[in-house]
Amino acid sequence: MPDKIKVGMADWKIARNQDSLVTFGLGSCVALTLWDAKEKIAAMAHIMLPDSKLVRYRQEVNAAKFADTALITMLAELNKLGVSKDRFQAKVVGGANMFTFVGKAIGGNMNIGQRNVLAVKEELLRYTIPLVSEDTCGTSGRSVEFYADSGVLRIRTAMFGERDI
Amino acid sequence: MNDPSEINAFYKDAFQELGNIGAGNAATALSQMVGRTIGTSVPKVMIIPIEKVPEVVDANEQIVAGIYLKVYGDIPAKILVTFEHADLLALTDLLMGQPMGGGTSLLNEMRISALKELGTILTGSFLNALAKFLDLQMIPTVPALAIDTMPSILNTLLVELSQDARFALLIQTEIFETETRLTGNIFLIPEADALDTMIKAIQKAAGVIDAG
Repeated sequence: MPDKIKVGMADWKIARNQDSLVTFGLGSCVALTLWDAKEKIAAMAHIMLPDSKLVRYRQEVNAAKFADTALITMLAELNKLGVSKDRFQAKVVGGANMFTFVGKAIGGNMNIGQRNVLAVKEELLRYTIPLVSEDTCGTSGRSVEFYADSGVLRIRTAMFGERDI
Repeated sequence: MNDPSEINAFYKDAFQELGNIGAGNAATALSQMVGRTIGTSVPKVMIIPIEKVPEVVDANEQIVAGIYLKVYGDIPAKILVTFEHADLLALTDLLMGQPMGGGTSLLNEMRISALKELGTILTGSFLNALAKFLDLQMIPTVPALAIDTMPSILNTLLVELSQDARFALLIQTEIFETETRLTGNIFLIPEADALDTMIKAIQKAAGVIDAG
């Protein structure tokens, strides 16, 4: 029986072979996935915020919460398992702006979805990991499942059903 | 909030009472508007790590209409009203004074506007009652509407809060139309800065003298 491994907000997990990674309720949050096609290893982070330096309280070891700390942490852990970063390809999903009217009225912070997407892409560039596909921004919330054996990322939205990237 | 033990049982009760006062007033307003009896539930006061909120409140990915407003003034907060997707047509029938379930199957612009109006009335009357009780100013923004899954909507609201706090305080009250059981939920989610002000205002309103 393949396992569906749940990834909560501000969390990240690894799956292998027949198993998959799931996360639901991506509003302005972003799911970043890494996949090693040769070893059939998948990793997914549910990232909430672009920048760990902007928080007002002392941060605990919750590296997957922020775009600027998630990828480096994932790569270091995966490296310990003997997976080289050179084989990874990435996908990015989420970063919606669900309440557009409010966004226009009060500006700034509500476009955090887009800022999350940009920050995640910047990190991928920094570590030269190819971004092979994405489904980002827009106004719909998303739930995703990522299959370790195929590298397929299945996206579900309330209004538009399912699609694979 | 970074330490949930700051909130003792007295304040939990007080937050529940705030939910009662707000939702009671909202129910009265809605009842006058549609000419039906509107009931409210006992409010739930939840203090949850932000990352856990979506799964605690709704793990079933139910599709809802969420009407969201920000509140400025003495108690910065977010206020969210949700209705189940399946109820939206009947609910807008009720608002527009039409026979329920008899009309169109489309949520057209008129109905969307009616939903926003409903959100404005419910949140406005909710906040008014709170502001009066606590003798504080609460100024809502215009409403924004999203039809999506409950976890996605909560996720979006909480992301901003997660910059300032590790725990979220949610006061959730159900309001329902007694005949057909059309049900909505009102969530008040104070910002991290608002808790001190709320607690002081509750002490004042309750006549508690703060010896500290």
